[in-house]
Amino acid sequence: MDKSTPKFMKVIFYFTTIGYACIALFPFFWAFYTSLRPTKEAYKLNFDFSNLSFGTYIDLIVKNDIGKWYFNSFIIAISVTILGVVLSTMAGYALARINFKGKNIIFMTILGIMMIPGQITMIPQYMLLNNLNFINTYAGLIIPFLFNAFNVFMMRQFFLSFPISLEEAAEIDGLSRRKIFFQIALPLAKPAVTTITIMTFMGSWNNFLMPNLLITSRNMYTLPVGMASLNSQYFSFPNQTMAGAMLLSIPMVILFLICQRYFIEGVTTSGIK
Amino acid sequence: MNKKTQENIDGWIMVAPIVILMLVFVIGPAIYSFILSFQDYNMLKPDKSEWVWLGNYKELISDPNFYQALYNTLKYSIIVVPVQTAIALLLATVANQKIKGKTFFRVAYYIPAVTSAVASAAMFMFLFNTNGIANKFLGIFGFEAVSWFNDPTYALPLAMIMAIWSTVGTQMLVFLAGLQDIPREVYEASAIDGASSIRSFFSITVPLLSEKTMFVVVVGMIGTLQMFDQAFIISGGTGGPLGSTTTVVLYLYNKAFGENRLGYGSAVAVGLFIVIFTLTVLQKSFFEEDENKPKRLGKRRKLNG
Amino acid sequence: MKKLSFLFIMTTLALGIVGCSDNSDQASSDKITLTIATYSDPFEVDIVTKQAEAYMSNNPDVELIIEPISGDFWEVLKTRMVSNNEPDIFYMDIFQAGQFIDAEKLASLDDLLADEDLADFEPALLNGFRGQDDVLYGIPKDFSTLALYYNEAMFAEAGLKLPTTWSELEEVAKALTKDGVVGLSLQNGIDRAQPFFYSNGGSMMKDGKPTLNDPKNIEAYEYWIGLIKDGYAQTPQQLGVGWDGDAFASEMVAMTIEGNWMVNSMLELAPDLEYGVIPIPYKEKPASMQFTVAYSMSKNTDYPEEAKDVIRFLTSSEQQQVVADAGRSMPSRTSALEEFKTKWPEREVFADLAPIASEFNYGVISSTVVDETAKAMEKVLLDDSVTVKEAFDTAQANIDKALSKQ
Repeated sequence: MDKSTPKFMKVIFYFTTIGYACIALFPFFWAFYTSLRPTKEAYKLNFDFSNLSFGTYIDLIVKNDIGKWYFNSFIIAISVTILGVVLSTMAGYALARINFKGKNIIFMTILGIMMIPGQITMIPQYMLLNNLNFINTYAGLIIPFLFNAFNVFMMRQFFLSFPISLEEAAEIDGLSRRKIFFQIALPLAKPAVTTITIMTFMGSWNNFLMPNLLITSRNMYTLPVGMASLNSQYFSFPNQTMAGAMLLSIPMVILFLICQRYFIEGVTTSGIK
Repeated sequence: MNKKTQENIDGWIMVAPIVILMLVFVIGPAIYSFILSFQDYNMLKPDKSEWVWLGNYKELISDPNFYQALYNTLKYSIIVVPVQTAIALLLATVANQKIKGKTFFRVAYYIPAVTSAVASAAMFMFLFNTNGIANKFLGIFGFEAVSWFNDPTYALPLAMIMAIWSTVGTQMLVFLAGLQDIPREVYEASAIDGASSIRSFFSITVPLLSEKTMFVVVVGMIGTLQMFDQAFIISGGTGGPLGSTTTVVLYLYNKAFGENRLGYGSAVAVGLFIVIFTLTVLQKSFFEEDENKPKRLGKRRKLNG
Repeated sequence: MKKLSFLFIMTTLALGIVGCSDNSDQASSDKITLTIATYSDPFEVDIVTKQAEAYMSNNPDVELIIEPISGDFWEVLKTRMVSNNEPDIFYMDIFQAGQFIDAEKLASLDDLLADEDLADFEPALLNGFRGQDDVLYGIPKDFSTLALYYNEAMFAEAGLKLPTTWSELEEVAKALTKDGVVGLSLQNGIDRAQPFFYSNGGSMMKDGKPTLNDPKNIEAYEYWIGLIKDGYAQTPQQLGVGWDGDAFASEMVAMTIEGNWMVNSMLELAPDLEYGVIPIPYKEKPASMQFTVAYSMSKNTDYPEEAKDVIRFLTSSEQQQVVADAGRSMPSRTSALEEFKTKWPEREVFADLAPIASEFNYGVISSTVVDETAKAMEKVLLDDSVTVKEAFDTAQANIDKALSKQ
């Protein structure tokens, strides 16, 4: 949007940006509103702001060990994110830039892995983790989830798109591979690393299927497993479901707010000049 | 140490942890599943499993329900992937502008992505039920109320809307990160050449993002072809109404966990794998043909600047 | 390479630390530890936890660990069985029991109760947990039945008599369908329609095989779908609500067919609504349908005798009273059921239906039967060109095919 843009274009621009923001936010807003309503009104489709309260939240928090669920989820998500991002970034760089034997096979395998539906490998995976004594342990909820094919693939794509000339120049100057990685490639990849950090954290935070098999002790519940345990077999009340959804997503929104600062338009430090 | 050896050592050190984790936790179980696809393996009677070799595959080839599921899945994928990629790219461009309330737009666009599948599905069930807000809203424009979940014509489109709504945010992030690498100067140079914002979007932004676009498209395609959550929630696991939301993964899930036929379920998974693999290879060759163009363009701009 | 190797070593170390730490829960003691898997529903978990505490205070050498299973209970149980890692004692739904019995995953509980003790259970509740060999594999812990809920004010206003037969049901549903209210909310599935099949002289199982396309079933379903197509009844989906309870509580409908669990949700959803419950109107003979949950024991348990003792305790008259007091589902022992009826008189009708309630159980491939039936019923509902017979015949063919693959 510069000065040369015609006025009607600006109007269209703002109309669509704000319009989509509404579409994106509305379900979230509606869920929040529902979570504040009393049970017997929660499934009604009118707007009535007279008796909203945080009662459902207080109820959820008082009756359950939500603090412990948050704690477990945080420990797991933070460990998975830190370790997983480091490993994926290194691997992504190697696959994009270093010519080593077996590189293509590894890359094709990683692509292939993404194509296997997780529902079918769930059983052998569980058998393996069970044999490793990973039931009800943090290790079992962290280590198997450190490898993420999508992250490695994404980092590879990013490193591929950086101009190789810089690294070639550095190599001619006699810089070692690790210096090239840490001093040249990594700073360039900051936005990409930010992206996979958010995505890895989110994936771990919302992970349900496998943890639900691995956790049998209530002490080890993560937030999604704990929330799912509250569902009655016969019915569930919309206000409770929505309050649970809110408690689940708020930490993610905060993380995003912190991380999004690293997306700065038109970085000129990328060194292309 | 010569350069080649050095490269081999460097490379393997950097990929080793990932490769080990991958072999143990993913490849191992995947091979196990692959072997099961040649067996008549009942989950509850593992001792009585028998080698049927290609038996499951023969059944698969003549299984009309599998084709129905595959058809639904492909239909879903063909519509969802281009739409979500285009919207994600547009949103990323917007969220990368120097405009008022940039942070607000970024958060707003990203919020659907942080909502877990189960939670967002609950919201959609709510918004799109017969008396729901969506129908009321469409009613303002004279549309008749639609039974979204109950009508075979609308259930799959609803799943598409849900999927697009909830994945666009994540893909926007990828593009947003990609946009950071396009130096400002490139746009400035093009503005001096007299190009409009729209033209520079198509002549600079789109080509320079090709690697990320390929990532988003490949990942989007794989993700949509493995669609499960939305279909499971909309239909309560049955793939209804009238089979319109039966996807391949939902089908294999019901075979494996409903009928305990893990062997047949594995064969369905292998079938799906082959379909996805073929499509990815086709797509990749399509993208690689294109790949040289943007690089050349990028270089020229560099020289100009 | 220093920095890189350093990173690598650190990562490996971190993995190692994470790997070694926190092997909690392995409290070493001489106690016998038994795990009990329940549904994760907090309501259920509370009851079982209290019962387990009571047991442990009498049996200090046994430690009972409750493992509530969230998400899909059966998916989790089956996956754990493949790894021979299932709990010692677990809930067993009558609907799922067939496949586990067939696969010999459950231990025989024949010698668990003395004959006179066994006679205290309603035979209809025990049958679903018996194998082809007549061995008992589960002791019912509680059950629920279906009946007709009606809105008292709406009936009084229209001056209508309560229906007892199919034709009367159709008449009142028709009379009550006005002013935006629909006569009846019907969840279009076998788990609500089945009483109509049996009432018409049909059945869902013969010689251990599902018989969906029994002509009597087809006839009964034609009646059911007729109510919906004529507009006197609607499905919760058509009404735009999650389930019958929402429709009934918000007075969108005058009647619905639901189980006794709805009494509790009504307290929450519409505490002031005046309603009554009567048996489902019948044609040839009165019928209902029962949903039973039992305790079963794994064949792999290390302590079969101790586990049996726990099940004996959990299903004893005294403990059934605890279930009765909670008031959601009904105790499976006749003696406890009498107590339940005096305590909750408004739920008596559900208790009295036990002897005429058909089982929610279709043998080895129950879930396929339910899915195929749901599809057939959906087809009839949505596609006017499909007859009930065509749809049921197709479903039956699919069921037979699935059965042959077992």
